Amino acid sequence: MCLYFKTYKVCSLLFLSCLTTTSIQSQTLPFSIIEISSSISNSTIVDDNYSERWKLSNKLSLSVSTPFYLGNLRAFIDLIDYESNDGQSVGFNSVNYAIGLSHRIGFTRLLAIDGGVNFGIQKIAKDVPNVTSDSIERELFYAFLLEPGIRTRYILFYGSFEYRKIYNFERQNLYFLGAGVRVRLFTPDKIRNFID
Amino acid sequence: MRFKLLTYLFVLSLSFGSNSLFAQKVVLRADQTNTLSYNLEEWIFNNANIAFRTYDFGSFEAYAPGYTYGINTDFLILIDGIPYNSAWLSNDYLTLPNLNFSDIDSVVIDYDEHIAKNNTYPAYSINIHTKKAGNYISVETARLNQINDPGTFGGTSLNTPNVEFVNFPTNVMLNLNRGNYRSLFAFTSELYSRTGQLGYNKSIQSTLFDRTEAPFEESEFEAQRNHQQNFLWLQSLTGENYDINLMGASYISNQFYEWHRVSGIEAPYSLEQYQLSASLDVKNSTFYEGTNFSLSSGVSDTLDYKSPAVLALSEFSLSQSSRFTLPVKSLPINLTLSNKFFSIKDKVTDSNYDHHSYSFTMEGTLRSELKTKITFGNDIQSIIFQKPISNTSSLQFSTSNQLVGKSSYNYTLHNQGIGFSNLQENSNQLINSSEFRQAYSQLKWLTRLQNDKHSFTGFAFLRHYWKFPNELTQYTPNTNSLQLDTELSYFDSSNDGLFIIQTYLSSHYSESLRFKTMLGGSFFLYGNTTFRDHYSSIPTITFSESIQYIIDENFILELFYKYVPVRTLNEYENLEELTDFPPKRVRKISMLNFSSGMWFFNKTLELKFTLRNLLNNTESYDTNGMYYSMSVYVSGKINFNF
Repeated sequence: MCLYFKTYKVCSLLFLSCLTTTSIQSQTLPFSIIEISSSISNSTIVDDNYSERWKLSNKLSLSVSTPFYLGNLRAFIDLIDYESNDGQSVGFNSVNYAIGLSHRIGFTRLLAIDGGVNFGIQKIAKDVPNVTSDSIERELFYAFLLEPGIRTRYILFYGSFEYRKIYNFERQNLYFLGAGVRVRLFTPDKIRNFID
Repeated sequence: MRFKLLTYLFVLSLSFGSNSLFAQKVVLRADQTNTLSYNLEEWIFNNANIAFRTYDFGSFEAYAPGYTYGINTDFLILIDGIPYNSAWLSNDYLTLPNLNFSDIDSVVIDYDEHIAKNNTYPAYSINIHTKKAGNYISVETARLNQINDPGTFGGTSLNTPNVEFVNFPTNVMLNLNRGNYRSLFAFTSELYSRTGQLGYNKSIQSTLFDRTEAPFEESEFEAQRNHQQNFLWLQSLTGENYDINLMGASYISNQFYEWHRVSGIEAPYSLEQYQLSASLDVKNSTFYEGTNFSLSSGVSDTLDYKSPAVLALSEFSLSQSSRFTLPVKSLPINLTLSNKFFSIKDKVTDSNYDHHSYSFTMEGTLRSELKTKITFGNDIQSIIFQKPISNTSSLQFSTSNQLVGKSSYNYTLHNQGIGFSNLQENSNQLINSSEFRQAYSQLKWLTRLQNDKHSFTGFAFLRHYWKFPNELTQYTPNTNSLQLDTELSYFDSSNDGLFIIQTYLSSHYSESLRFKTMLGGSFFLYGNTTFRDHYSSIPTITFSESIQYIIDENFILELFYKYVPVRTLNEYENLEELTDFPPKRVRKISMLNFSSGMWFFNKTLELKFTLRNLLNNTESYDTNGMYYSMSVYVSGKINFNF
């Protein structure tokens, strides 16, 4: 029942946010701006059965975003390593791909906060590949992001907070706390029309 | 105008009378729905609210409104108006080439006996219309993956069974137009899992009960995957006085697992089918309207030669139909003559079964808009009357008598020594007192209401069976044998009654928000207990709701909810009592999907992302089939126009 409400919440949140934010964002034409962000975050595993066995390296993240009707459409790629915490568990490398929608609220000309939802796939591979079985696994995750920042016209420095849930059989909950920098590029009309 | 495509506001429409006498249609416009489905079949069923039973989403038993069994089990499939043979050989379920729905212009589901390409069909039909205009090539690849993998716990004490990917579809379509000549080539491939987290231990001969969860040592484990590839080509020549169409299709599966319903054995085999159809339509004719001609051939062979069950069959079928118009007292009367021959052969026992059926159909509108259709043939005799009772509704009465023939698949073939032939002498019993004749009368009411915001269509009917051939299957596990001891009894019952209702409501409150509500019901009213028990495997109600938010022509979001109540598969009753598997009660399905579609580079790149089964309630259509949890579907497609 708990799960039922949680997923329902995610989905209705997403839909509601879509419905309510159209008017605010619609002034910005799709693809008129392209933002490239990179960040580094400290990673924490909430669940004991995971944290007993592994600790996570810092998360390195690269993302590209662009205005897309309801907000900013973002594509992410993150790298996180699972390092053995008990000396026995095998280490893993993980590559995480995600897409999401985020929305920016500007408080002043200088301060802004980005909030968004991501859906993605965690792809893990063992540090030492095992030849007899498939050592690559993919699993779905979703994440909530909150990124307060200080902005200028072309550059934005932001703090990053993320909650992520991975749908392994044993569900995995993660928190990330970090900082990043975002570069803003204005797309020439020709290119914008080509992409649209 | 950005919202040009929104001018089509009604996804569903019901039309009376236009081209076909008994046209009562549900039209799905591919550009107006976004919900990704497992494959084209499921997309059609979900969007038309048709319930179905399936093990693995590879082949389907579709419950058309009024479904019983033995008759009208399969929808007739037409691709661009040409008959496509989708049910053949031992595979008496429906399979289709998995065309991408964005290459489809529309799908028309016709809930009445109707006429297409010079033939008259007793079954409900699904007409798939591809996008005909322009020259284009499209390439799509997608992946459907389930949650609940062991993740990093693989190989540790917290290991859990590995969960197979669900489906891995790929398809390519090429459409060319040169003057009045059109060519279409489509290749589709699906690699799909049959097991989820269950599979077979390689050292054991495969039976239904050898399925185990994927063990930690994977070397002894084999996951069952079916692979099916379809190739379809179509050539059309549009002339001033005639149209000529030629369609070829092939279905190849080099590894196909299917549970045999008599023996209970599930062994991999190969399946191949080839078909060729030609049709001639004469325009502006006063007498001869055209002919359709189809050939189909299918072969199956067991792959695992150590298996005690060998399924080596071949089938050949030939069908022809021609259509004529007779101008009688300025009221045109249409005549259709059709023939179908098929032969199915067991290559091990050399037994075969041949059947020829023919029919003659006459239809026309009598006085005071009374539409009439009469069919007479060696397997079927039927009559239908339909009359409008107001501007918005009509009343239809029909009565039909039909010999079940091949559709009583188990009996007909099994009794002829066809299918898993080396098994059958031992433990399968056939008790037959049926003449395999199905006779019914029904009264149907159809309606359509529409205003500028809503469109409602619906129909309801009462059907009374004068005679119905019942099939009663009882399985008993046998510890000395791989196969089940199966007792099949066939007997006739009289006076069974059904009530069926199907409704569709589509609404739009603004240009960007659309709702579609579909509700259907199939209710047993009275009659024999076997009939009732069988009917309990069909969902009493099916409900679905779709909410579509069109932000732009390049960005669409959709929520889709489907509800199917508990069903009971009484044929598993014995098995459940004796072995606990499979249970006879199939859990309800309450599924919510969120899907998004995005288009880039002037619609050249199409990305779709769906979270299927967000509520993560187990989704299963047969307790002996797959159990699905939440999954993610990602699809990328390139459309190139030239």
